[in-house]
Amino acid sequence: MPELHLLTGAYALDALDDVERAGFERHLRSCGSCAAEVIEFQEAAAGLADRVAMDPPEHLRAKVMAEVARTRQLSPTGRVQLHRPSLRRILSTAAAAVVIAGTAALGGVAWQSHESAQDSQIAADRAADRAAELTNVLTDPSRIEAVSQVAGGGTATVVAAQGKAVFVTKALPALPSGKQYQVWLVKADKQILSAGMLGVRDGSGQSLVTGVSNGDAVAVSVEPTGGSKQPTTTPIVAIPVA
Amino acid sequence: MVGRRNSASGARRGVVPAAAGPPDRALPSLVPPGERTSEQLLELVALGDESAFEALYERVSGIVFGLARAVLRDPHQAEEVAQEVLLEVWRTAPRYDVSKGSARAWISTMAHRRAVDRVRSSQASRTRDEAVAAGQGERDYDDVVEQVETRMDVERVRHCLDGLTPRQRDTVTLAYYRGHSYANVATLLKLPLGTVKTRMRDGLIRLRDCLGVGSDA
Repeated sequence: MPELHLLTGAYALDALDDVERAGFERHLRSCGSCAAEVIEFQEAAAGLADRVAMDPPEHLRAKVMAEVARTRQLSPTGRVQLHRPSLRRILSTAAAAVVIAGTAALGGVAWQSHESAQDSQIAADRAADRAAELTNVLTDPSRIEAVSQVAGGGTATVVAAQGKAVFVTKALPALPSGKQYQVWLVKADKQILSAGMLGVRDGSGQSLVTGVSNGDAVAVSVEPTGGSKQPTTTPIVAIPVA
Repeated sequence: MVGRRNSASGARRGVVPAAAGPPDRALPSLVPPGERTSEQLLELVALGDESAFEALYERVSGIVFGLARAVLRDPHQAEEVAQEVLLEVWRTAPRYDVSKGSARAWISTMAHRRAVDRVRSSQASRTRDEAVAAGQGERDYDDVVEQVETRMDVERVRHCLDGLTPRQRDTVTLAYYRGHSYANVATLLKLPLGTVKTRMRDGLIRLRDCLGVGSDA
């Protein structure tokens, strides 16, 4: 029996560390018998859960129902086709980022959701600078492009050139309050640097990562609002720039 | 999502033909609320039905909160995690796929994962890991087993857990009820890593068979 298959139990009990969990989830996609076993184990574990069931404090219901009333649900079609998108699609995704940035520059619309309307002039100036930077990267003849599915839904595209990477997401799930997406630059020597928070609107987000070398990777994790110094959760996507 | 969901489901009820399919696949809105399965409730939740969500809350909030409480110990953090998870159920209900397991398993998996992620990123966990590394984990371990045993009030699972070898039971309960990684379990029980992995899997196989959880269940 393959070594990885033995991890079905530890996986169903959430007893793997983040790295092993991500590795095993990759394996699961190509191992039907492992996936079937995991489903059965999760059912068995749910039986264990019954034994510790305990009613939550009564006020939790009102809190949850209030949040429910103002929280959008995900679209049912969360799955992204496994085939690699054509270069044309990558470029049109990346071009959309430029259009968004450009629109922001012209119209004074904050293109990062955390930038308030009051700062619209500053935001517009910044967005204009940023649009120029984005365009430079996206049109560089020697640019490197890569696209990946995001765990939990959506896609992420990286276009890198001139030591910078344009990171574009589509159809990313909305996060509950108190959580934000954070972008990381994972250097070839495994050093992890924050590349800032990813402003996401309707699943689309863009980020410009600087200091990128060949062999680095751009990753995203879900972090408490305001970000963390190092990732505290398993990255939902990691795209090598090479 | 706006509008009166109740009237929307009322309208649907009016146009659905009587023969909507075999009983288990009938449209959930045709089934009286108290008799809906959790899977049927989830189907309605996926359509934005808040009253269906409240009915589901009634059924699963105890599992969600209880699991978070068992793993995190701290009631305040457990409540935060429970709130996050229950909102996540609402948000991601449109992507629930019944072929990937029961609603209960889907929700408890989500709750357990979230509680474990929280405990491993918190100070409580670092303190605990240091204690484990320093070989002071024994009391913690005894404590867990005792806590779990005294709460085992439903005979079926108790019986099934009794069917595991003591070592299988220890590895499964330390991981599941306390959120220990298998590496931590190995340290606590002074066992090689590979042995722990195998015991977890063997333990779950026995538990699965005893609980009658098949792929057709």
